[in-house]
Amino acid sequence: MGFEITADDLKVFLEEADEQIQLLEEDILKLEQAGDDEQLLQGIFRAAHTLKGSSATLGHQRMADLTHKMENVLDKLRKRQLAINSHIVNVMFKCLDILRILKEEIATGQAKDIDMYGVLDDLQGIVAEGGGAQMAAGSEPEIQARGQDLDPLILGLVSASIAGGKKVYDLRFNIDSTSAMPSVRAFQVLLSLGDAGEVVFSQPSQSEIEEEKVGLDVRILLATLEEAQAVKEIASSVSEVFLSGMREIQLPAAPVEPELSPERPEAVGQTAAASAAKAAAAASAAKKSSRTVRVDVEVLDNLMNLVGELVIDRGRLTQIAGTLSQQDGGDLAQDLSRTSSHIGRVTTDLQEEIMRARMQPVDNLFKKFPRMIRDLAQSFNKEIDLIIRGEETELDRSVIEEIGDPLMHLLRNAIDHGIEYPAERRAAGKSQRGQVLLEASHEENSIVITVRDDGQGINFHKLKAKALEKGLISEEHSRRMDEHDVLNLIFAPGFSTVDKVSEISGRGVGMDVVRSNIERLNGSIEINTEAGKGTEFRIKLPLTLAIIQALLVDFAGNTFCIPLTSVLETIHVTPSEINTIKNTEVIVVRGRVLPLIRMRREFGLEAEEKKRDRFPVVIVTLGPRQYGLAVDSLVGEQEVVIKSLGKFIGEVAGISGATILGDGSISLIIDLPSLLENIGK
Amino acid sequence: MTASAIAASTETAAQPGSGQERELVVFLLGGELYGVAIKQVREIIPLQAITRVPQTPEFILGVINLRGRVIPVIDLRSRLGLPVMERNPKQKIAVADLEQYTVGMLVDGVSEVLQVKEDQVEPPPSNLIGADSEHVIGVAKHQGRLIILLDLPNVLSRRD
Repeated sequence: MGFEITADDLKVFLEEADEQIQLLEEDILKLEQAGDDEQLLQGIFRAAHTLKGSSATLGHQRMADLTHKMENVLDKLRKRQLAINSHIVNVMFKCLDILRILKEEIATGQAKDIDMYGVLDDLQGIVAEGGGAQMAAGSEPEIQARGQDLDPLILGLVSASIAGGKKVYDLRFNIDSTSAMPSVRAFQVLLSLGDAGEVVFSQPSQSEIEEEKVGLDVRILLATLEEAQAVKEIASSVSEVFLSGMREIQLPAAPVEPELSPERPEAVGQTAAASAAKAAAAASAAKKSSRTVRVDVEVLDNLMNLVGELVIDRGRLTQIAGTLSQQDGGDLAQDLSRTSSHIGRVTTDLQEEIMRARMQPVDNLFKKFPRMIRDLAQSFNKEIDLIIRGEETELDRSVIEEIGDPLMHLLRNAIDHGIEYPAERRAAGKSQRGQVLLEASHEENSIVITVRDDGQGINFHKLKAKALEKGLISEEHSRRMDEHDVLNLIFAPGFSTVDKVSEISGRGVGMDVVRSNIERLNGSIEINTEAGKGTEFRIKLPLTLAIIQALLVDFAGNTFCIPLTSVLETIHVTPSEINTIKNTEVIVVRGRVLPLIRMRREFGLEAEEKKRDRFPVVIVTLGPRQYGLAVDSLVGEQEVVIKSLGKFIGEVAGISGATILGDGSISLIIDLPSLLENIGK
Repeated sequence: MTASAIAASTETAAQPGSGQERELVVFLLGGELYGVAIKQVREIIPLQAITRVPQTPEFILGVINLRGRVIPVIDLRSRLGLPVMERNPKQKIAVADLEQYTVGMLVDGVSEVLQVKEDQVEPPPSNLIGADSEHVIGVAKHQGRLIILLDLPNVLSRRD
């Protein structure tokens, strides 16, 4: 399948759709909690309307249909003909899920097989229900016939027209969804009706129509001296536009002259003030949005690379200036060294700014969770409040992308295993509603993300028993384990304490995957738990993936970087200190037996080593295990900018990327998780 | 062949026999002349230190620092099945810029940039068989010399 749209437009559409869907999800969730909120409702309606408009423009019929039906429901909510309830929220969420799939369909150009009928029926049912409920209170047509759904200012115009002896008709139009130029059609309708009378109000407004901001629905209020039949004929004269509804507005009572009523001016004043405030808010929003631009991440990456080049040149320039001033020492040499040091400062600032441009608030990620928590809590019959803090904390966007899945898993666990059922909580003297906290904060040069629940905590005995049963530890080993060791069992591959396999935990993703994902980001994870009080997971992440602190080591004539977060210490070892267990070389460091990995051999680089009395060993930690890496020599610590090896080389076991050192040479960065994957297990 | 490779090779192989010209970068490899479309070559740089990347196929020599970018360098001889030669200072790195990636190719030397008419280009001879034939899109005759035209997207595709 294909759409007649340029790739750039498509990208814009997809990004916009993403935003609107996310916005809808957040706001619907808020609405469920708030019950009724005018502003939220308007926002939700607008987002759905935008989606409908753009999907229709794109020619995606199913998306347009679905959003149109959603809009119907939202319209009823907005007009207070329906009250929000969890059924409506569930159906709306289902719609959003389908919209996401449809969006994917547009992105990939591959039709997805999804059944939309169920959800369309649900929407229809909700609308019908709303209509039914409304009958008792006063039907929709009646409200509209009285113009009660109109803005007071418009209502004033309507009543003035009626007072002037004109008739005011409320006309509704549908523009054919296949129309190539809906805005032109809408404009034609406006023009032809304008000839017959005065257009009091139109939705979209004339200026919106001129800017082509047109959906498929048009509403026009026409004040005219013509009879209904004549108006109907004019209204039906534009091709591709169908008159879907028409009624005369009859105001219930004669319009009250403002001067005669003491309350009236005040009311008008309030309305004016309110609309002025609204306009101001809209203006400031517009101003704010115009101060930001969308930038492709690739552009940022390129900028980062270019700055990298500058950094290297800056080094050279300083060197040249130094040499020159030694040889010459004249004014020119001094000039050069001043200029080069200025370039140095500017480059550093530039680098920082670009790093900042890559940072995003974690909010972008966190806001995806409330919906998930709500759905999960519902399906588990648990009552849970999600508290989010520190969502303004900024992280490199690549870290944000990678941390989503691990966090989702931790939150799922908190709900599935952590928080008890309401009855259990009451019995334990806790509040019936469980609390899950998701918090981001700064800590030195890292970001800490905390997931904490006030549930039952982790049961050490149960954990140990399970590990024994699964054969992950031996009876003897289990006796020697302290609490910390036991807790770490959670991260062992193939471990799961679920007694019954639920829909949620049956996904085959374990805590081991969570930990390895975090370690791949050069981060770490820590658990704290207290029986009956709850469990806390603390994830520590680097601010950015682009720059790390590294320990530089040499072997086989090359310099390699080892991420400093994983380095415990460096020691020197003599050949006599090396023992062999089951064909694996080991060393004993502070009473612990560690596998010794000879890096030359591991990487297949000149396996022949010089016979030496002592050689340096870097002790690294990965999860619960420690390893010793034998290298030729230690170089030192340095901050390095990580660069990818590129798509051509692809993933290489043991190497996560490369960096360019001050002298312009390339140093490879060692990836401990993939290097140590098959060792010592 | 990937979609982009097809697109690129059909582009360079367009209308044999027509009077149109194509601009080639010609380089030396094992005593023979090879040509690639000039717009696929970003630049030619002198041989420099190449950092070997462990656990990669033999023909990937490693990575170099191209003004702050880390780019891979392949041994074009070994990629095309020619005998591998000891490195020498006359060798150059031709940096190819394809849609998917930028890759440096180690060549014995660069001879010239020249224009050949489409009617000087013939399809690859049928005696070119095996792995080599798929890397060649044609042969150009220019002033009595034969220039083998490489299908660069194909040569640089990673399906080894």
